[in-house]
Amino acid sequence: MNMETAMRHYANTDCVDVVVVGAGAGGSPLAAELARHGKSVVVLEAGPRFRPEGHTPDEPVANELYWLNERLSGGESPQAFGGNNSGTGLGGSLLHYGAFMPRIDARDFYLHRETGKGFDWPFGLETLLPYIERVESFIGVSGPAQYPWDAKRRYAYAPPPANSAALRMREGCEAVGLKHADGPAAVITRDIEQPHFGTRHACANCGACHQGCRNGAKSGTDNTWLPMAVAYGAELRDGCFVHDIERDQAGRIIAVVYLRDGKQHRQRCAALVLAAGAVETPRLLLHTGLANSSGQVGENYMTHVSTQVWGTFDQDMRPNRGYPSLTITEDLVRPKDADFVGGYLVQSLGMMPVTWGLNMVRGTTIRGQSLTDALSRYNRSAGIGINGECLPRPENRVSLSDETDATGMRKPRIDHSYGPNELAMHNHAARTLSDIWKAAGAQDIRVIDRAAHMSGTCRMGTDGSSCVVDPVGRSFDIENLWICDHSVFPSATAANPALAIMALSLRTAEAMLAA
Amino acid sequence: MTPTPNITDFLSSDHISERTRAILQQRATPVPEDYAPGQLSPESFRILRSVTNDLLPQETVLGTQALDLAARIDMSLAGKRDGWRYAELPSDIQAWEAGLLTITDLAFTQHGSSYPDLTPEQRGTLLDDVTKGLAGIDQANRLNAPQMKLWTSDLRAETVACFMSHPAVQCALGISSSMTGGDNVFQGFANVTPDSKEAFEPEAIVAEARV
Ligand SMILES: Cc1cc2nc3c(=O)[nH]c(=O)nc-3n(C[C@H](O)[C@H](O)[C@H](O)COP(=O)(O)OP(=O)(O)OC[C@H]3O[C@@H](n4cnc5c(N)ncnc54)[C@H](O)[C@@H]3O)c2cc1C
Ligand code: SF4
Repeated sequence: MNMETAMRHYANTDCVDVVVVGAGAGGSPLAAELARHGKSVVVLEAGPRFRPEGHTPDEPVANELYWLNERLSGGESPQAFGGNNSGTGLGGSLLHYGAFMPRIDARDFYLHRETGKGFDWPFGLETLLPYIERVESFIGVSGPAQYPWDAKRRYAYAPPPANSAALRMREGCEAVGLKHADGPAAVITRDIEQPHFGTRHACANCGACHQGCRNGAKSGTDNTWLPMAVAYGAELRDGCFVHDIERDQAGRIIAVVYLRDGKQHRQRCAALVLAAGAVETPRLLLHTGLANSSGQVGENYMTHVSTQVWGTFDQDMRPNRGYPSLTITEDLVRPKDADFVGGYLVQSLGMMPVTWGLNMVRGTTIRGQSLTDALSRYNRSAGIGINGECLPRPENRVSLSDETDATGMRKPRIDHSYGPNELAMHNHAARTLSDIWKAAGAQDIRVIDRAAHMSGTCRMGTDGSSCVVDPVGRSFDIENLWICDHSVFPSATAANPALAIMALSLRTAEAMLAA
Repeated sequence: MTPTPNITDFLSSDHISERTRAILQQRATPVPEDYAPGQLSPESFRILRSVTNDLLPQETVLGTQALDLAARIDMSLAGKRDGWRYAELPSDIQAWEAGLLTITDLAFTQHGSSYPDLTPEQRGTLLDDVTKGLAGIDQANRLNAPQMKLWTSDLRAETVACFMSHPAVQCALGISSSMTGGDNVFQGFANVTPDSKEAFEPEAIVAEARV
């Protein structure tokens, strides 16, 4: 990629049109879109610039892709972050995400209207759909020719081959009467020339999506939006940790302050976009005391109920091979027998051995020879898992702890406790997935209780007293501050989030251009 | 007897990138037999040795070539941690020291002897109790029962991570996850369905791993 050589550079003293903090799913599409429309853009990213060829499937070392400044995990269901944590670097969490790319179900935008629970989006699917389609077509998403839950939908790439877990899930679903399909995956399955980037190769079924894709097949932002941003004159500055925001007398933002190579720098800007993710964005706002007249910054922290069920098969399954999570069913987005509101998506699961082993030991209490034997059966294992709605609850939030880290900021504390809805959904999923897996021939069935993803801490809406940003991502309090990442989600929805985050990002860019 | 895995062929595969090979070779270097802990105190390190043996016996996988998991954990405590910890626990190294000393103290109060000297059943019950959050010590530099439940989750995770990431274990269990492709040719996998091992992938030598 020619991102480094051809990149434009701005001086700290230049007052650029826009500074974007964070080069992940939220920050990157917007940076590209603003630059394409002639805005001067500087992206400040805390993490490094990784080379795709340098990624390694070795799990302990691949944790270089994770956010590494310590976070404190609290509450009754504290999340074991590690590999489940957000990422860092040019590309953000998409460097190690799973690339599962479902769209949000139209009903999930208005869960409160439907059930009296949760919090509604200020618009519905029809508003987001044009942006969703633009994202899908620009980054490259594969999927089946006919999507069973949406006849109109088309995908530009054929699905990658089904691996062992995907095949077993097809059988299990058929046996219990659930529809299934190859799921949408942000993975390309033929070589292409990506505009402004260069050659991206077809998926090689290597299975290491969570350790970083080495051939450009996985659609992230490092091989799509970020090179486009650079081509249109944006500057990507890696290794820059933003820790302060400066304002003028009138309260408008005039600059951000960041640490690079241990030295402090100050970049002037006419507008600021925070896209640091659902933990670091509220952390920065709580640290600076800004944009919080609603008192909602850091509140409403949500995850996805991400129950997994694993089993052993009488076959050599080799769960590290192939795109990890191909088969999907959307039949449980509103289960008929649900004793909870909302619903969940089910996907098949392959997994790398350390991640798999960690899920197992953290999720069970087995020890001794039974643990050794269970680990020894890695090659015979396959899993299925869900992503399900998680309601906002007052107990769940991001706050500042009493401990300070090397950046001089207080470490974030994330409190997470399942409420009755999440527990009921977990139990429902544990039963349903176990049935599917038994029907598929699995033995030694093991349920893993876990949550994934992080969202909702600066939610958007129409009412500035209960929301942090308006429906296009602009702060209610500070006119030239925008938020554009997973923190703005009003509700979690059942879908994996990256597609909607990128779609919202294009929409926020459009609003900024119009402002 | 379990055959000993031969990792030389495994590590020289052209389906492993040079960076990954260097990482695995480095990890394959044995820990010196007289390893002295750099992070943990000698007493807590002694307990950790015994606890890791109880948690994850290695004989069926590695025969007589067991890994010194306690030493590897001690070394990893010195390095960069993975970006989070439970809010209810003190910083990582303090939590490990306190957790292990809590196990020692519980062994003494419950049975009057050191953890390694208890019977296997006594050790098992003690480990189960702390893992389920049923036992702990409410005192400075020790962990109470709810904290023990959290910390044993870290203990279990670290032990398993050291084990599963070791090339000898991957080789013995027939795991090809490090073989995603070389530098010149990024092969990936041509076969991804059940019962379709490719020639370059290791064959499991451990009975439990085989069909
Ligand atoms: C293991 C894993 C698997 C996932 N799989 C999927 C999947 O299959 N499908 C899906 O849709 N989603 C998936 N997700 C979720 C998805 O990756 C995230 O929801 C999404 O990337 C969040 O986007 P974001 O813009 O909010 O934050 P990020 O993408 O995390 O980007 C935030 C960026 O801001 C930077 N930053 C933070 N603080 C600062 C600061 N102070 N100064 C400068 N820079 C800063 C960070 O380094 C980071 O690069 C997965 C996530 C994980 C962790
Ligand atoms: S499975 Fe495909 S998309 Fe995933 S990392 Fe490997 S080559 Fe990339």
